[in-house]
Amino acid sequence: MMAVTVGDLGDAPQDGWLGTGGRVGETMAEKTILVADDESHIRNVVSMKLRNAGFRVITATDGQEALDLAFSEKPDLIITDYHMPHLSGLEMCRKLRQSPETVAIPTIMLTARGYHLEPHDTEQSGIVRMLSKPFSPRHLLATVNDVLEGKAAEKTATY
Amino acid sequence: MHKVQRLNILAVMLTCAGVASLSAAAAGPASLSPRHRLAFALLTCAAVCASCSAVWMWRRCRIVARELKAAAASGGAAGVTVPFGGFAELGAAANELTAAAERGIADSRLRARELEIQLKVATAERQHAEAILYSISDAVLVTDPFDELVLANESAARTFEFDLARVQHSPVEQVLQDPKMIELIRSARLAEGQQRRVVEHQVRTSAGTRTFKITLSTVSGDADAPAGVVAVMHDMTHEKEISEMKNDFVSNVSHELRTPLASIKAYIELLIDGEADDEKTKREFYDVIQNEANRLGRLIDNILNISRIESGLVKINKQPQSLTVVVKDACEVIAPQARQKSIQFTEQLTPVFYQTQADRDMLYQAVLNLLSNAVKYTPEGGEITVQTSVDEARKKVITRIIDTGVGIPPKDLPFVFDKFYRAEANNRMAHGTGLGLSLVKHIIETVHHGRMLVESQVGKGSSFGFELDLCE
Repeated sequence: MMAVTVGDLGDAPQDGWLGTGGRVGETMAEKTILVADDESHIRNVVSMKLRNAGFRVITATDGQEALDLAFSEKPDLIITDYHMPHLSGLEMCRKLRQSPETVAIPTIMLTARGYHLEPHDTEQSGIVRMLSKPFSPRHLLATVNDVLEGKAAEKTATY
Repeated sequence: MHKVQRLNILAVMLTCAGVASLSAAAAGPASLSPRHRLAFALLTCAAVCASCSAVWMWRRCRIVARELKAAAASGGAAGVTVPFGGFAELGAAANELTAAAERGIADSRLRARELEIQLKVATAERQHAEAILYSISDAVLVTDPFDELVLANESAARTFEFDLARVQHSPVEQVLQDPKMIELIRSARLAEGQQRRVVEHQVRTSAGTRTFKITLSTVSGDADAPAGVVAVMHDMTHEKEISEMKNDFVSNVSHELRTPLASIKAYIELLIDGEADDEKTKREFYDVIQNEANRLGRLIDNILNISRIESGLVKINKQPQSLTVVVKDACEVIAPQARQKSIQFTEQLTPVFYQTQADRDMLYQAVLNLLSNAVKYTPEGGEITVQTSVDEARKKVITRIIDTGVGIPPKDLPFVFDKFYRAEANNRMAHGTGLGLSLVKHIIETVHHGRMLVESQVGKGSSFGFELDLCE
């Protein structure tokens, strides 16, 4: 439908842009985020927001593709839809927990269903935040930054 | 006994006695004195009288006995007639006995008649109660204080798979193969006082597991001792399914509404935040917002139309329409979505002059739903072929939308037009409300009296279409 995919627009980080909740820094520019959603508009809008904030974004259209990308690219964070073809977001997260290579990747779940996951579900699947659709891209970016900082702090503490 | 008769008999007796005594006196021994002869004659006369009396009494007794026997044999219908007045007491007694017997017999007859009526009433009531019991679609089991089955209807026999004719007064544990059900009946009987309890219970039948709402009532007998239990079992499997379907529907609708709304809100926020700085990107954002708003509108139309058609509130405006034109209009809306998924979209349409009597908006909605499903369930790089054709011999216009999508498992195929139904396998492929196909079927079959055409093969694709009458 669109001549140019929205994702293409965000390749160059816009250093000068300071959106609400968005923080652009050198440390963030290195981070890779995997965005998995079967709705192209959602993928595009999230990708654009994150790329504009200086992240490297890779996208997947279903759970299986996301799982494959997570193993090959080892992203720093995953933003996934719950309901996707072939493999649901939750199933994908559980599979990631089973491998030592991907067990530490934090996941933000973005879902249009009002799922309230049980604590043990989130613990087992590594889901750190749940955001419901409709969502605010600003709020999503702020959450991404929080999670990544939290993860960094955790790592520092471990070292 | 008539007096004249009695006198006649007496006269005969006396005459006999007289003749006897005279002849005795005449023929008496000559040696006897006249006094002795008289005495001899009198004695002879007495003996003759005594003999006659004895004979007469014997006969009389036989008559009375015979009369009594006849009266008894006739059930009191014949009265007892005792001849000769000499035994009037015996006759009176016999007659009283007979009268008493007659009264007794008459009473018995009356009582028998009353009982007969009562039996008829009771039988009619029982048949009535049984007719009610058998006409109840719920399963009914009635047990006595010994937990034996005293009454059950066909529905109960079907549920628990027993032979209705054979189980009367059999212990429930022999009739029912369901330990939980037996326990429910037993505990209901043991419960104090007259109680009513409602429980939900699942029964495994040969047709699968069914969910029942069971109302157990304790029936009290004398001195409040339990006389038995009545269990009425309402099969709520279908109701439960409908309720689950409705819950799924609410959840699906909310998901379906939220998804385009999420895009609209997110793109607007990006525009507000100035993230789209060049005109081209802005243009794209506006397009996305418009398309997603349209998608929301279509979804709301689907929901409203199906409820309107079902409630009969919708206004139908049938005019001669070209199916080809309607299909073409719908293709124009759907083709961009197909292109987005790199689906090869082919149109094979007949000339527009073939017409059918139809409501244009409804027909358009039906075609749009079928096309939208084809795009939804066809993976990237697949193919969709839209055909319209005419069968002049049968006077039908036909459209088919053939995709190379995921297909529908044969077990799901009969249900795809059911409201809220979604094939489990396809639920993973794409979102949906379970309303689209139901609406199409309503539009084609209820509103236009056409016929749906469906074929599907898992992994190969589906063909959805319909045929409508060709205008003369």
